Amino acid sequence: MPSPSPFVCSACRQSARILRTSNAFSKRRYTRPTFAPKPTLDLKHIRQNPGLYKQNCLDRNYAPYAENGWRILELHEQVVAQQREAVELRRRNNVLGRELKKSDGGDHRARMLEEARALKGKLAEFEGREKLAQDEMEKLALELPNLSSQHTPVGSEPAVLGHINGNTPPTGKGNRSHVDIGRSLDLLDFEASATTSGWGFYFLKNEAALLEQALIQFSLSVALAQGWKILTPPSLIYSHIASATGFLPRDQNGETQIYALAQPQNQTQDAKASAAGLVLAGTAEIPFAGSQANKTLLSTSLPLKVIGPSRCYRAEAGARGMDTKGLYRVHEFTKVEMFAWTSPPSTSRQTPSALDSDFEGGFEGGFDTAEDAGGAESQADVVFEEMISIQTEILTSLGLHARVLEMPTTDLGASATRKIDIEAYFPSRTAIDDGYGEVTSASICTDYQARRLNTKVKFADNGGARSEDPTEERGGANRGGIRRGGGTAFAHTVNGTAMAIPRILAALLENGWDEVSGTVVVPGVLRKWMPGGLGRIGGGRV
Amino acid sequence: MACRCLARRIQLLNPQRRSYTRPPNAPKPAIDLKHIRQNPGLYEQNCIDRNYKHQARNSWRILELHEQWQEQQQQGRSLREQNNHLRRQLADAASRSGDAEGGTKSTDKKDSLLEEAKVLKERIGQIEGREAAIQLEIESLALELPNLSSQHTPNGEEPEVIGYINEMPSSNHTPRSHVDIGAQLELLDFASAATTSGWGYYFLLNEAALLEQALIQYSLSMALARRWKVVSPPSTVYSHIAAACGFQPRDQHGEQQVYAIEQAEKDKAKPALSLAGTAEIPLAGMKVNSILEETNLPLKVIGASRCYRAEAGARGVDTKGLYRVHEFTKVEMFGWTMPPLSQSTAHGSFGDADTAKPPSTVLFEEMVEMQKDILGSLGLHCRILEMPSTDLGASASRKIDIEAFFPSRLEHSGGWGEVTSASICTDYQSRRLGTRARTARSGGKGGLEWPHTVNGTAMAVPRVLAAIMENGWDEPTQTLAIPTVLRPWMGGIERVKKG
Repeated sequence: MPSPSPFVCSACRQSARILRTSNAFSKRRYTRPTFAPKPTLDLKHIRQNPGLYKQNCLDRNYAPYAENGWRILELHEQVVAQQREAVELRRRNNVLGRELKKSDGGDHRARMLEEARALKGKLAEFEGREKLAQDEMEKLALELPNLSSQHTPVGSEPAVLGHINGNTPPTGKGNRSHVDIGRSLDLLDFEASATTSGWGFYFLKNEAALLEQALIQFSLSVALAQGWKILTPPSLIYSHIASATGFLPRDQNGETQIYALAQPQNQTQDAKASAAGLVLAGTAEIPFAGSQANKTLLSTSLPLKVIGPSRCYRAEAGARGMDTKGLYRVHEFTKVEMFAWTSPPSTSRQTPSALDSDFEGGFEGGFDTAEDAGGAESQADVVFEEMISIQTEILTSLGLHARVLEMPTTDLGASATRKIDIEAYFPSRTAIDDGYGEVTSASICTDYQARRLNTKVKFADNGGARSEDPTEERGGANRGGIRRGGGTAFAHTVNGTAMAIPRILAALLENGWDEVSGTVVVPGVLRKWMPGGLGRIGGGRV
Repeated sequence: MACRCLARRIQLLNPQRRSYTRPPNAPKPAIDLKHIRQNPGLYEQNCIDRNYKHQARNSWRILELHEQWQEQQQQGRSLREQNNHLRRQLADAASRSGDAEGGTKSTDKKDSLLEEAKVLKERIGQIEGREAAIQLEIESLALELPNLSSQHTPNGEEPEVIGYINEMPSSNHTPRSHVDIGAQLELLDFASAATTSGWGYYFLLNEAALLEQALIQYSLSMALARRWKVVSPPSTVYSHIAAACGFQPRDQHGEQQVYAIEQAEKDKAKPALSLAGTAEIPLAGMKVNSILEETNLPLKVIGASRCYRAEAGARGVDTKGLYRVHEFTKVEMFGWTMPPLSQSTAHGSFGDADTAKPPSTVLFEEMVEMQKDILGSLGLHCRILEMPSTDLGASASRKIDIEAFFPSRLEHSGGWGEVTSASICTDYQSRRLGTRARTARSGGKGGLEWPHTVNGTAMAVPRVLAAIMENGWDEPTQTLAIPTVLRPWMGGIERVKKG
């Protein structure tokens, strides 16, 4: 969850978990409007592997949902049994129909009529029950988090994969906080924002405001040089799109985690429609993912890789505390986000044989699919690595010391199968996590988002193994006119932070601070976007 | 964005009662009630001129209420005198009660005195309650009044054309809308935005997204060259701060014009947050309850921010495309200046015979100059308008809009569409936000005055983008020219071609 988490530090990993994952714990509080994309969940896979889904829930701290897989199986069996019974009833009904035609009245006929009526009632009741069961199964399946990857450590401890700019934190940086530095150089104003907006907001002033622009420009330039497409998304998004992407409006405590627009009271239809069900996206991952809802992408156009800046909003209810001061945890910030759609691996999870043969590593390594066992990298893996290399390049050239973490199961967002965070060193935070604080995040979401947003991939050729029909579960029959032979599947999505402005800005101020001269050095790569190629902040204003 | 009718709808026509509550930490407004009482006719005419019919009688009503208040004060004074007298009598009675001949007679007298004192106290309490209610009503009536219009402002609904920028482009092809061009060159995606967010949203793609960044950078660079201070403000602001700047949550039709953020049931007592429609709000809010030093004035800031507009009831001709949208990036200029020297001009208008240009006018002219520079260098053909009284926002004393020529809007409005706006707000905002200036001249040792505020658009991204697309389109080659001044931020791209 590169997106929700760019703003969740490792110290607050606990709260991060609450912020996102546990969102799934509460019931859906929004209604899915008729025009919303219809989710297509892989119920068959869940029914065939209820134990796998249970273990996954336990590993990811989704205990309340651990039985969802079993419950789905149970409901399915009830439906099947009922359908069998219904077949019997219909057969009897047909018999009765024929006999009634032949019969010429009397007690017998009345009894038969009575029976037919009862049968009809029962069948209707069955239908109603089946609909309820289906809704319940969908709801239970929607609540389940994605399956974790083989790379993901089980538990709550991340694995350190490596470091950027040295293997240990730089020494001699002092411990001046960016709040102090910002005040002494007239770069940050938290008092004014407390008056205009409350805690968790800020004004960037002078060179800090210019650095914000420079950081946007710089991160875009890195990705554009590698052929990514640039996109500016809206920040106001339908809440059903946010939910389908894996972000629910409230956490299990009923705390608002996403800002929603107030419904205007006593308003005209026009006004109501204008604000209906809109929320402020906490990350551009949401509008990016949503932009391909109900679309079919050609496999030849994949991977489709986009990057764009957006204003992000986080309610952060209940998150006050040690991070209340400064730029580290804020309600509103600019972030440059990467997002990609990729072709699913050639063998899909829906092929039971592939799944069964894939468990030699046991459950701990994760439950990934054939491509892992086979060693071949999926397109999602390749793009994921590309995102991490962009993140690494950006942080390296900004001169920030950082560590790269393979995030553990309890720390993955609902949609993620795998997540890598990068934490930079903040001299002022040495008391917390040795000074490391999250600055980027990248996740692979496999088909979690695509199934909920109905984003499909159409393969140019029918590659045999790819003849999977993603619509399999929708009542068995092919729906939506997808040809089985045509080869379609759900896209796999990947997302990652390119630049979370205020955290990087804080890290640059603290790491670039020179106590003797009372100035902050501007990293060389940013100077071309600073007026006059400014190299140092302080000691005379531009 | 500075669209005229829209601005009017949002700001001006707000005869509604306050629909937010002012929390205790909010700045306390200090309206010049004396000036209103002394010039009720002026305020009435101003309301009529500005199409604030419902508020036209507010000044007279304030005068009336003030007289009632004075009456209450007088009554209160005499009652308090009586009360003091009674107290003395009671004290006397108490000191005499030790006398042998006191007895029942003096006790009776004391009881009746006490009874009288009780009645008096009640009446004083009632009067104080009435006084407070009157003051509250006076304040609310005064807050509803728009600023007084400037001498330059034409009365009525017709703007005055005061100049042009660049020549009318000659074209030998049918005008193409930016929506078409955007679809053809893969620059705009409205369909995806309709899925994620509804109408009035958009994704900018490829060169359009780059152009957005370039337009931000370019406008900031223009202001930096003039030594303006850059600020990056929040876009989430308290509703009471927005209201103090002249932006009410609902218009006269009760239509919602500002997006408010939903509050959890348990947070209902907390002050409500809104999404700012313009950075003017947080920028003005930076100096709430602050004192500015004369030596720092004029204080000039510029900042980019995401802006949000509910635009209820605004559907229709502008529903398609980038012209009228719910969300966009805008670079905004804001400044605080010394008030003018003479008191008569402090109120902005009507008989402003001052020869020296007030500092706010000097800054206003600088803003308009910058707007002209920016639009001129982008090669857009524009006209400059002195906006009429009915078209000023509640806070504005004077407003100049610049409208660019949009080939696709020829039939709709002669092609003109607003791209920038600049307003002088005199002391309207500073009085409501508690922003003061410490000046040497008033009293010699640091008197406090209300600074004047000025605001103006530097760059309303989607509208200017649309104008650039429509004006830069070349039909024969099916390409779009990128204005030269933006190329440094476009990696040197000169033309956008298909594919």
